[in-house]
Amino acid sequence: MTARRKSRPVLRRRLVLAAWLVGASLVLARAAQVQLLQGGTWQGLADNQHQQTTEVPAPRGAVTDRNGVLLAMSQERVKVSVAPGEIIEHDRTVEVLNDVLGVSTASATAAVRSERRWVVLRGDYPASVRSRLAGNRGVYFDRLSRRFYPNGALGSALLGVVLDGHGAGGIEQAFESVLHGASGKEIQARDATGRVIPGESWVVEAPRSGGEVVLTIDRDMQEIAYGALLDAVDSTGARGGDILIVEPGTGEILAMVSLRDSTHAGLAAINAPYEPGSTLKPFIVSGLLERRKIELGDSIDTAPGHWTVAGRTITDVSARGKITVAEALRYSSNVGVAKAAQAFDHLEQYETLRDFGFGLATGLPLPGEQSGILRHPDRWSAQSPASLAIGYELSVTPIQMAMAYGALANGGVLMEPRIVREVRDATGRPVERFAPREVRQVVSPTTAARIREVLVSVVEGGTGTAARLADFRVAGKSGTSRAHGPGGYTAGNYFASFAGFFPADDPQLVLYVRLDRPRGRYYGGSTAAPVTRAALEAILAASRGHLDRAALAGARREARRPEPQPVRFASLTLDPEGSWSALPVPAPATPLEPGVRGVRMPDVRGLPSRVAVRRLHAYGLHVVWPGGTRVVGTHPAAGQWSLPGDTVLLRTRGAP
Amino acid sequence: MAPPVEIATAGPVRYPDVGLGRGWESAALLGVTVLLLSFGLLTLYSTSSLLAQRSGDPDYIYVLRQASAAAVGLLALVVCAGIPYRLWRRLAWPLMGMSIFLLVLIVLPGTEPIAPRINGARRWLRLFGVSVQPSEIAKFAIIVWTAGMALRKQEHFQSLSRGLMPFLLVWGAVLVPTALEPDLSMAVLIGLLGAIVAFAAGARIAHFLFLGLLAMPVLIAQLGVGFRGDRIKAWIDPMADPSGAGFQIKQSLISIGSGGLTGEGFAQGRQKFGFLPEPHTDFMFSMIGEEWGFLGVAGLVLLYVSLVLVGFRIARRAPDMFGELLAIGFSSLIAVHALLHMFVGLGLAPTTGLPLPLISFGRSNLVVTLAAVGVLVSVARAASRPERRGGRRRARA
Repeated sequence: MTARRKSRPVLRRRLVLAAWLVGASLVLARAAQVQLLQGGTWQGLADNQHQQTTEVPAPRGAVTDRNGVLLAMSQERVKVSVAPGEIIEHDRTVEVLNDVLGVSTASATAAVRSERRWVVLRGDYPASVRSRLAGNRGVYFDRLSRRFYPNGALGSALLGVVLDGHGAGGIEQAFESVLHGASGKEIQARDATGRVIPGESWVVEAPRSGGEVVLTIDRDMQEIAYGALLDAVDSTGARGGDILIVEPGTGEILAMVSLRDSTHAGLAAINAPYEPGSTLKPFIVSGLLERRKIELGDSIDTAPGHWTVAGRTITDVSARGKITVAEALRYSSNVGVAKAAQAFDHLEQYETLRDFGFGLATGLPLPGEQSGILRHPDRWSAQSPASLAIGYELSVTPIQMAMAYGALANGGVLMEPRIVREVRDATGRPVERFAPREVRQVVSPTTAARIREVLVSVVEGGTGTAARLADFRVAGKSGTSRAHGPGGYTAGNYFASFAGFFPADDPQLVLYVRLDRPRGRYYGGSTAAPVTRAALEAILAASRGHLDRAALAGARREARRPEPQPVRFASLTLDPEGSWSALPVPAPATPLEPGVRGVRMPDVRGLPSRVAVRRLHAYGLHVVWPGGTRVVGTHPAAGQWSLPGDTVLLRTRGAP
Repeated sequence: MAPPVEIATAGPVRYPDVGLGRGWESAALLGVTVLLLSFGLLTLYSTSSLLAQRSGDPDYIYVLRQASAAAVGLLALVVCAGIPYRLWRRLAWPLMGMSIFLLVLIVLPGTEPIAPRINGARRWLRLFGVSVQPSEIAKFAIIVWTAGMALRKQEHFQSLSRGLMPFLLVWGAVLVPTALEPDLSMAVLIGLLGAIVAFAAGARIAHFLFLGLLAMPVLIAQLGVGFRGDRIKAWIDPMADPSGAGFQIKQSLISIGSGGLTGEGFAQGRQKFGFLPEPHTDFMFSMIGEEWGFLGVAGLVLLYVSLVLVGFRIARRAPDMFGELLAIGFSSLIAVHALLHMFVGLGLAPTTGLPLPLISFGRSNLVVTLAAVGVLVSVARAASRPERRGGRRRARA
């Protein structure tokens, strides 16, 4: 028994207990070290992996026309995703998705019951669904900024697009810094896979919205120009075309449309130079007049209709014998103008063209503007003076031509083109205004007026009669030039151009039209001139757009038609609808309420989109055409009342 | 510390009867146990709710499962507290035999239907919808068996063949199949518990050194194998490869460290969002550190320390050597688990999958731990029974 009592080893028990107590102290000491002494360091590491800072995209600023009509705007949208593994109440989630998003029950079920960890629902939704779906387990959102162009394809080449949040092409690119705004910062809690924990985010730096860009563009004129050009491209089978409407007094661009087949993107009106041909002649003649080298009444012998100079033979369409300089311009005699240009010495001829702005970019704030080519006399050949006189051996862009004609319409003063009137900050406060800027006095007001008078005769009885208006005098000049293919000029490929002033005596608008390789009748006078006329007629008929109508009243031809007539449209197209004149005269305007005149929406369902657009324009309505070849409906629908100036949304099908 | 004899000689000191036993030790033991258990369920909800949702279950599913095990465990506690602890001496061999049988059963080829391979190891026996971890039973058995055997072999402790060999044979029969599951850390733990009881019983120090030398090559060879080697390396320098093996240790330290003094608050921990592996079992302590801070950690350590102190007090006051060894063994069972779990969380020991007793999710472990507390209560009851104390003194005289 003694041995047994002795053998209850107290020391051993105490040693074991001591070991555990030492262990516990070790835990406490280590915990104090980690939590109290190094706490900050570990906290930093923790924050680092628990939080991520993400950008909150700033709402992109809007682009408007000169009257504040939205041309491009941004909306916050959300993409909705579901994590099927986290969903508990599957049926309820399906119901909610169906109810709030309008997702079909079948596809909602497929998403919610999917084996995949993460399913992104198709399409995007208004930002408001976020709050309506909040609290549903396993449903996640991604912010998305979507760019809308409320006027559809109208200004696509001019406006450009937004790719990955950045402007690409056109105004979107040129004014990126203004439109983009400053992204904000958001801290989001995330789990080990980097996924954001719902409801655990804090905006630490609010985004600053982008500013607004106000263009000089007039939406109505842009719409009309677009329609007229579209018609012409359609009816002539051209590859594309450009139209510019400029206010000569200020250099403001009211409309700028470039159409090309899809392979050629961009704004051809500023980035696709060409040899202008006869539309260049007025500048040669005005230079000669300005330097008193010739007078309009001087006579030139153009017989026998062709003239060979330095090995190059210049031909006229028809031989006219002895004609005056004015007639040479009126009938666009190549021989006449080329001979007259001999009065220049080389430098004078070069300076004349350079002063009108050729060979230099106009400085439009748009990406990709080309300067064209005007060679210095040092590098001229013996043919060059004659070639230049009739619009070859140099390349110009439509915007250069429009501005140069603007100088002739503006008392000889060349203006810098303006596409942006104003830049505003997000609150609408103007940040920068772009005032009209004169480049130089190219020719005297007298010379400009004399040339203008000759150009009126072109329209009244020369090569540009297709641009003639019933009520107003229009000045203009047509041009047809051979187009370069690969390896030189190719047969049957032409550029048809037409420049016009309206009204001739106190021009408010300068129009420049270029058609790229029209098929069939290719003369500028018969293809491009009617575009000018159609645009002008539509502008007048629409009683909208940027025009000084009081001044127009005085410019009207004397009393040939005292009463305003129903609008008549030039028959330009060969569409299955027949000609414009076959259309019913719009609006037996019926009062909706006293003083307001409404129109009943016509039924355009089933019509080709372009025909429908034209018809609705004729009613004085704005049209939003989302692309698509055939109309399946309109909003408002046929038979409903609307007011001139209202916007009609076309619903279409078919590939754009 | 006053020797128990003084209390005995001081006359009939009456302790209030707290139902299961008359000493305050039982009350303290039960109080601390219930406290830890409740805190455990609370923390388990915080750490497992996300996990439950990820797998499509209701967030309280782990708490529910653990609570059902707690109910079974409390029943085991009451039973173990109620039966006289001396009964275990008679049950030692059957218990040991059953443990060895079950351990061998689950590693035998061909028994996969009842012992499936989960995460590369066969540690569970699944029968009639109940899943049991035989190595948890073996922990209980080795304490009981070693205590009983030590008393019988006390006279022969000096002898290698008669004092050490029997222990080695039976321990080996438990450790080898456990290591084959494979569950090396559990095998080491079971061996450690057996050694602690034998040590407390007065086994020769030289034998422990001999055993240590014997085990060393095996351990070193094992530690070099695959993931174990990586874990050791990661433990020595957790930042060397923060995405691989060191990831767990680093994440655990981030967890505990970011708790600071007062913690992120209950259920506010972020590390459970997939950063910390197994936040509801192996790294429970780390989550407690994050959510409750140093104050919570210190409180937890104090609770365990008081549990172990009371356990050793019961050992000291045990009427006989067997009771003392049982009390030392079962107190140490809780102590070694708690310490190793916390060491791992704090980067003081290589990563092993040990649960935090009474807190981590793990039903077999919870039942066995509660049963261990029951045995402690049983010993305490015997110690506080006046006639027992008298009886012991008579026996000593």
